[in-house]
Amino acid sequence: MAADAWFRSPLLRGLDARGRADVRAAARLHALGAGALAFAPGDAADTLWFVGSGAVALASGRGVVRVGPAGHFGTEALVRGAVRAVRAYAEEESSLLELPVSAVRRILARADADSALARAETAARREAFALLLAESALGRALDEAALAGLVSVLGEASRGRGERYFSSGEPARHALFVTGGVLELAASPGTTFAVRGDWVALEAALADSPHVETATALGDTRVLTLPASALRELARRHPAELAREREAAEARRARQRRVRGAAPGAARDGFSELERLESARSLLAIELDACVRCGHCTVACAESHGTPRFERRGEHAALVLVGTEAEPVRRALLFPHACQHCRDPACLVDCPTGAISREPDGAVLVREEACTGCGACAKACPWDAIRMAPRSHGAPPGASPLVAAKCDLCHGASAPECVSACPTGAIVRLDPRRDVAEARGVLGRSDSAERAPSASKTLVRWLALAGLLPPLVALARVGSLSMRARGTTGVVAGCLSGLLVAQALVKRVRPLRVACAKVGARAGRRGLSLFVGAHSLAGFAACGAVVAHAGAVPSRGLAGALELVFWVVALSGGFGAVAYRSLPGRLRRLEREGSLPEDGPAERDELEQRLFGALSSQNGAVKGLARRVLIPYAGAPFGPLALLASGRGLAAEEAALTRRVERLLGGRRSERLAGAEVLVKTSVALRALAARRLVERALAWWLPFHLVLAVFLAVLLVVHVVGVMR
Amino acid sequence: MSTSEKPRRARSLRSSSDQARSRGLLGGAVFGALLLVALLAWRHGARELVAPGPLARPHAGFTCTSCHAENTAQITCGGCHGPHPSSRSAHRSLAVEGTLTCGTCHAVHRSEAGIAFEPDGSVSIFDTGFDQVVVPPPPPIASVSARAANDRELTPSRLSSATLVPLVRAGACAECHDLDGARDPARSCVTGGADSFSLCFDEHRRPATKTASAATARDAALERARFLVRSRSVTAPLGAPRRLLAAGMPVALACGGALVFGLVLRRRSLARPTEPSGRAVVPGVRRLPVIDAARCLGCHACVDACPYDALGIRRYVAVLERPEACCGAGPCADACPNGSLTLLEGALPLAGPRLSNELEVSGRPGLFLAGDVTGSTLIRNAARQGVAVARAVHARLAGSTHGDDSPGSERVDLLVVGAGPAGLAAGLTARSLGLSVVVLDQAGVAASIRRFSRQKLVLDAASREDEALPLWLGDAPKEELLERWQRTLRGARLEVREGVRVTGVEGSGPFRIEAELADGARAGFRARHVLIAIGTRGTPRPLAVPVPEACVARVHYELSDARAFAGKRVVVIGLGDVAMESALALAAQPDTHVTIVHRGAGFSRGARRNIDAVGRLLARGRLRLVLGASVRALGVASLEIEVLGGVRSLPYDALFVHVGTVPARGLLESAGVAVRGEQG
Repeated sequence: MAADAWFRSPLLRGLDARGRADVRAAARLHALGAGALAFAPGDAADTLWFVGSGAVALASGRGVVRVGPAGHFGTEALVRGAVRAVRAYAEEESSLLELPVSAVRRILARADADSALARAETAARREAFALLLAESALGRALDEAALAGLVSVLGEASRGRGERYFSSGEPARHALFVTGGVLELAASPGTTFAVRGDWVALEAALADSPHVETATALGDTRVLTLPASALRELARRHPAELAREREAAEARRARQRRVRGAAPGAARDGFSELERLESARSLLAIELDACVRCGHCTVACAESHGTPRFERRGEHAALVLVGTEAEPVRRALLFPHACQHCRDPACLVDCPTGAISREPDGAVLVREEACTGCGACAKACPWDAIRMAPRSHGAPPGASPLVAAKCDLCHGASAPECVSACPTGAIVRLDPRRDVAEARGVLGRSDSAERAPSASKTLVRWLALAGLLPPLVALARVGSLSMRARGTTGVVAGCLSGLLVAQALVKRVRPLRVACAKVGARAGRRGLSLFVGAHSLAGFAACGAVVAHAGAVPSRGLAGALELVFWVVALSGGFGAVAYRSLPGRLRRLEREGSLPEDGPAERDELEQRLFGALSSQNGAVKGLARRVLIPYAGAPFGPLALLASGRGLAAEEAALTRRVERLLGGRRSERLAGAEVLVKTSVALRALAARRLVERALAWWLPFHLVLAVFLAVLLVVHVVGVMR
Repeated sequence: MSTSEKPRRARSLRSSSDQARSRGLLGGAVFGALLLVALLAWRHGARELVAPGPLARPHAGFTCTSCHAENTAQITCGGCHGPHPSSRSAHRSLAVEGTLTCGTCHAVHRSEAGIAFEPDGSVSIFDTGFDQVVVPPPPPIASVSARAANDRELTPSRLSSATLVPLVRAGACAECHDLDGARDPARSCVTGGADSFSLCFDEHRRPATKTASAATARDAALERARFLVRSRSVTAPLGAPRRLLAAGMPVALACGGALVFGLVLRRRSLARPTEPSGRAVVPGVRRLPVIDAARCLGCHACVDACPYDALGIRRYVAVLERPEACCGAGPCADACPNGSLTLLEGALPLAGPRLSNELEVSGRPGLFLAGDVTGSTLIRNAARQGVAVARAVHARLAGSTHGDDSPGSERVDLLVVGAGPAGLAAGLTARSLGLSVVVLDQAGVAASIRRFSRQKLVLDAASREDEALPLWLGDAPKEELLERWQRTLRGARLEVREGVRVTGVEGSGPFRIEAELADGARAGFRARHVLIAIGTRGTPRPLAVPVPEACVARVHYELSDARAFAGKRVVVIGLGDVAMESALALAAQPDTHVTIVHRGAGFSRGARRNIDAVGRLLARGRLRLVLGASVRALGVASLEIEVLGGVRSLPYDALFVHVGTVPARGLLESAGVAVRGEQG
């Protein structure tokens, strides 16, 4: 069988029938026409390619190599984090098999046929290391022979989150070359970071002096280690090349210190998110000052995927966005646990069947038909972005009913559903290296030219415009003396009300929603925000028309009910507009992380337990203080309202409460109240929790009320119009 | 491979409140709207609902065809009212032209206001949609004679029915007239805005065809109406709050209906579908996992699911590394995605009490054991066994007669000793089967689980099957588990007597149970069947050296809340799972210095994950481990340990002793339970 020629490749030759079946299940089959590209230099390498028929040319600076049937190529993928060095394209009509490296390893190891793979790996390692080194100034400067010499002495090491490569004061035995992850280098002139392509501890290893920095892994990291003696030998032979690298490293450190030093105190938090920013290619973020907690994003996701692929829980961070705004501006963001399509996905490595693959555009996808539902990827994901969900087409017999599910960027759609469904344009997909100043400053800028659509201030502008309407309403009222005018305004009011009700359909019907989001995007807005503005405007106009048509006091009967319902709908809509505008910011100041309303009771229990637990080990003075001040403060019925009215954040409120406590004590006994900070913090958190729930309810419940009354309005309007037409 | 800790369970996607929020909304809204229409139709009549509006008193009860000719817009007022042209020539000529019609001034559907002088002397004002009695002010003194004449004309004796005077709103005049214009003749007729009434009561002079007295009465009525309008007692539409109430009531009712109906729909849609019941399990039977190496994916699912780390992965295939640690409960088989791991049923465990397949103690008919005391482990197994015992008891009682119950004797069908998972499951099942049951416990409900460390995750539901267990099980902190159990117990009204320590079980058939109450009093119970589910926790093995009176409060045998020890120097004695878990929890607290003192030379037993975690903390310097050490003496502030022949002093604030437990054998022996071998 010519089609099965790839099983004659040296790597796959030893496979039994079962191994072959596994290969077929894990593989992706490509039929490439002459000249079609398999991969290009610089592409991420995580798959091996086998030729079934036809021929593939591998073109590089050193010439063109031809791979025929039963051959394989792309072995650099055996080194994690490697990139393609050559351009691979079909010379003629070819059928190719693409296999994830992790699947190949498993299949061969189980068939006890991995000796050829081990040899290929040894061979590939040197080339891959050379390619990785070429990402640094040193690697680019060295000639091929010197690079080969360097590669031969390199070792490998890896560390997990929080683990150290070296501490300051330790003798420098190695210089490190980072190939994956972010290293934090804490030193006295200021903390710096090292990412892929950076050399670490060059100076110390060269001078044979102790480390001056402490290198800690911010997440999973991988490095190549160069012994200090080999480095000194290199410095002796190629001083100019090494000097260039040292200059580049110094420039990098200076730039990072400048960026970080320029950031205002609190904004340095953004740097703690560096690992996420480094790994993410498409990061889902919700702007908290614009997010109205309506949940349309997850509802839209659930509608298109069966179950929502993320939830509005997650960490908060404040980052400076540059790509999405005209001016760089610091934004409070929530990172929901949604797939961020990592540059170096951990899930892909841990999948036993090769069901996870990466598209050329960087999107990481799960093939449901190949997924066994073992959950290895979900456990491997450092961001908790993969969850188990029921199969979309029902489970075949014997298979697990659950499969791994994660964000697929709504593959094939123009924009992710969550982004196009957001009524305020708060949810956005960021490319950190393009859109986030912190990531740009530390990691370097992405060369992607495309800019994300700008964030919305839509609602404000529309509301300002709508503020012009009351005078119009007054004018309409003056002209309403004539009965005929009443009829005309009635038609206008009816049409506007009908339009407003019909607008609700836009959000429910997907194609309409997507079209609306597209129109919005052309106007420079995200999601449905344009729609919300138009809705507010039409609502104000309808109010004017209704005053003109029916006067201010409702009449009796159906017309009276209709008028009353209209005003209730209008008032609830007005409340919603004001709430959407004013509440998210207040809510954000009272939150520490993204949580859903159903988390409230557990959080309350936790806080109460912490308060009383911390109290139990305190002395009498603190207990008295808690009884007199803190517990009444936390439980005051109107406390949450007062907190909301003051508009303070958690830190400001804690400071205010501490001042109050100090005033009460008048400076006495303060040394005995040493443990009271945690009590103050917890009391404030309790009051803030109640305030948050209040705000969440206000944001959540006006809309159902508005919608139900709008349905009433629609039905009464139809009856009214039918009556008038008769 | 990274050394960071990975979660052991893949989390499932769950819908959040975002999805649930809109459930029932549409249904409620539609229901409410229909209810609103129905309410309005019931109140105002279905016909009026689709009419242009309700009609005022003069035309109340009219149908469309009363005024409108069939299928035309032609209005025929003259049929009833007769010809009575306007007294103003301009209006008359306009009417002849057809520009001015009756409806121009008397817009019957929109506003047909008027005053009614009732036969009983009262005065009403009406308009489309309302009709109410007003108390008019008396006419001014100057016109006393006129008033007397007026009153005479309007006395009931002279009026058989109400006299109606139509009022015209200024808004109708404004169609043609400029009411603000200084020279407009209509200006003198208008007293206010568009809603005020015109004063022109001389618009239509009726021809003198009627009797003189009727004409006089009508003139009097017009005169009085003019006075009422001029005195502004009828200018504004009356009773705005009442009209608001009238319109608001149906709307409010409909909102209520929408809310109730929506909530019902929501509850229905959120009700979780019941899952199919799991496979039958013979309690107490030992089962071991068997792995089909040809199909195993090497995905770690079973390894991560095993609570005792009995499984491992070698060359991408799962193997049973430590069969002696296997619990046989099968979370591995449940976790296996492709069924390559199955459970092979084996014999009863070698050690432990001799039991029949029904968990009955051999030689003691009617006496059962369940739970950890049988030698099996896991909460799920214990609950399964409890259910099985209750079912067995029920089956036996169904076979025998119930007639021998002598009234007054406190004899129950099943008496359960120990309110742990097995005892509670047995009690709840027996209760649901209609047996009389009493559960006794020397401490309280699930005391052993209550003593788990704070927020400890009870990992016992790594299972997709949802068995018909009466107790909820799931991966949850122990607090949540206990809370759910308490709720179940309250709901089932199961009688759990706490603080009752059973000291002896005697007799057979009807058992006599001796017990000691918390206050030292003795009590006796009689039962047909007894289930002993006392677990194996027993009491912790004490420290080998005497504990001085002054440090009793600082020596602990269990850890319930590690946060209480933050910032302290803590010594943990022992290196078993319990000791390691305590040490890990303590070391996670800020500024806590934890030292583990162990007799042995290294890790000899315990779950791999605990050993790994301890190793990690040791590497980071968060823990200290002293091996080959034994406690020599306990001082007030420090502990003397003997290491490698020398004696060292360890300062401490708290001491945890985790060197095993002494099993509670006394009750089993007194109840005559034969034990095979010796339990480790």
